[in-house]
Amino acid sequence: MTVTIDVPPSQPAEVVRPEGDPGGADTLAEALHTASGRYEEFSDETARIQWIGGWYGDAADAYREATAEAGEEHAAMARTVERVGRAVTAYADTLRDLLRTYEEQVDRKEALDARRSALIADINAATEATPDVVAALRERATELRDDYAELVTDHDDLQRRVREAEDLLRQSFQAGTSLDRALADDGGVPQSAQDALSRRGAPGSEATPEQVHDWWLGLSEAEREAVVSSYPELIGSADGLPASVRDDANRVVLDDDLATLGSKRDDGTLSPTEERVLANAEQARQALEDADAFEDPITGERPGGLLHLYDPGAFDGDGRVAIGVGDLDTADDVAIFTPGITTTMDDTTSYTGQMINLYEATRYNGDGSSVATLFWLGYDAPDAFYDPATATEGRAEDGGRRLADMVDGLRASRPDDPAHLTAIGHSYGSTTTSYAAGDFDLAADDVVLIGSPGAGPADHADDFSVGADNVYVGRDSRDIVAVLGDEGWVGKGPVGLGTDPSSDDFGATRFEAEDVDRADIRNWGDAHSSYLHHDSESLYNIGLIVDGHGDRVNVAEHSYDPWYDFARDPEWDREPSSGVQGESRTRENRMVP
Amino acid sequence: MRAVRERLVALVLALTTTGVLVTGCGDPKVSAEQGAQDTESSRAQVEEAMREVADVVAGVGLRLGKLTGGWSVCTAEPPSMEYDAGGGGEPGELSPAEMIAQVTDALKTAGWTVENAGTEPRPYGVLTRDDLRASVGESRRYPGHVTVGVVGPCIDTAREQDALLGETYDVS
Repeated sequence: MTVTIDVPPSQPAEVVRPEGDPGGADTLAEALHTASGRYEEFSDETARIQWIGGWYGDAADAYREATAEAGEEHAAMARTVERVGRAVTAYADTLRDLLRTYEEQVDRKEALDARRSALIADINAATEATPDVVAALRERATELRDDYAELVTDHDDLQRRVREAEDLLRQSFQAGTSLDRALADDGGVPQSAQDALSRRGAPGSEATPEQVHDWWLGLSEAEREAVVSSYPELIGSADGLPASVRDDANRVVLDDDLATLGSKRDDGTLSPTEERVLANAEQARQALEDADAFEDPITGERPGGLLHLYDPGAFDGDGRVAIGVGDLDTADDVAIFTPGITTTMDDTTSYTGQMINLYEATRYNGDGSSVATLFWLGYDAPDAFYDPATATEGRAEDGGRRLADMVDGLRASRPDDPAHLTAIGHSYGSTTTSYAAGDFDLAADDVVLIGSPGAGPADHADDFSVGADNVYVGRDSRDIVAVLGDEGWVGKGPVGLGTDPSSDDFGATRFEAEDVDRADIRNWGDAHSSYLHHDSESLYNIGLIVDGHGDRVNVAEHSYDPWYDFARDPEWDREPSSGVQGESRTRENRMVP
Repeated sequence: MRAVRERLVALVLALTTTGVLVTGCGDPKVSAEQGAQDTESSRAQVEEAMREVADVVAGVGLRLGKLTGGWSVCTAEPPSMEYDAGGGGEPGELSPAEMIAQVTDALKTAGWTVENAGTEPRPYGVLTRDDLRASVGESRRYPGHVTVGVVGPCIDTAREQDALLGETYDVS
């Protein structure tokens, strides 16, 4: 008896490699950014030479008019070339993704072909075609056919994305080819991007984060690529969009800044303002490189960095930035850290390093859940202790509103998969976080205040949106800033920024946070800045909270205030530890197997 | 407004007396040159100690594989970092807990002081010598392996030392 088993053909006949070289596209983008910088330099120069002392009359007026016009045209040209350069940067990133997909499909096809050959060999070798043997061979053939079909579908999708990416780049070039178009406000912006941005729910239209999220879901893949490359600043700061999308957009702007301002630095034409923006951009680049290189302590995999917010010229050059370690779109546990006064983008690398510490500690002592940590400098932190803004709490209130908005955006970006979210505030950032949780309904699960000079508007942990049971406080007994909060009337006047959250009256859970190298006296150095130091009690306990196990922190006694004397801190005399399992061990020793 | 002014004056007075305003909270404490010199010196000290520790633990049968090191952030403002190095290996016929106890004893004999040791929730030992801290424990990433590490003190740095973060060094 003859038995027929249909072995599917090998499909697709060939996995077609996307044409092009991402490195070449990067080089072109850099050249365009440099050209944009040159146009900008020309425009700056026309502004400088418009007025020539002692020259008046019709000829002088005509000269000024001509130089002004030339300056405006060159500024417009700079913006258009910059937009086209960003489109090329985005194309290079897309091409890298497409090439990775291509390599995966090549591997899949090789594996399927190997299975096919094995199946044919087994069919030919079958001497006794019992019903069971035939059924098993047919099942393998059916599975193989299904897997080939899936590969064909994916391959078609890859080729479609290749065409769309090329088409988008072509549109960007064409949108700036004629002089009129190049000088227009939307020079270099493809029509598809303009159309997408005019739809309801688009960022920048007063839409809520939920509406922005729905708008994004309604775009085609090609439209998404178009808006990311054409409006990267807008997309990069849009609450409600996936963090990976914001990251793509912000990296486009970062690459632009590094290239454009870098070329101006080479030419010696950087203004002091631009110099600061470039320094901020370089901090962001370094921080991202560190985050991208970091390896998870348990799996050894690289969770990657995210540029969640990037605005290096904001707040008079202090900058706005948010750098994530891990995947904010999928992590089970997300921590958002808000720093305090004097923090600017100049500190981005150090704080990202602390976010790496926090990620590591959370995973090392964790329950296996995935983690992402975010350094968020999205508000204008006061410049110094003597900055009047420090005492008025206005910046904390404004920052609290911004923090709550950002968290709303994160929540809206993953409505069906909410993370366990912890908001951590340090120093003045703890007051900012207190405003977010006290006045702006912060959508976090847990709040951690460390080195806090006061809880802002909250007199009691119950005033926070997360409820008193989910408010945690870390205070080193030697931290001079953390004893500024109002904890009694003896010894100091109205110094701090609200109630001391470590006090028994406040009602939060205080955890052990003494530094093993603490000094004999209160100080603002290590005692105030070591809360995220590896192998510290503080980092150990914060890691547990971020992991969703606040009930397992090592609890410290509250400070308290006898009516007849200064406030007391029971932690003053306790012997702290470092590197002790279950108390203060937060990382794995290095090991290469 | 008066309350705000009083609060500001009190804050400034309090912080002036503690020195906060003298240098500024977040400014680097050292120059770029000093930071480079101090980090290089600390790294050399830790690596030398780590190699000594590797020799000591080899004496009790724990052969560490490749030794590596790297920097991590202590404080962001003012910036400071610490260098740590380490390695790990299989404990042979001993259990990880038995090997950890033996390594702790061997390091004590070699001049380290046991600061903490125990078995809960996982076996470990923490030892100190001068301003260095050594630790021994069982790997979570490679279960059954015992790891040993040495970490140096926090070193004040300037922004120029930010580039050290993310680097991995071969200590062998």
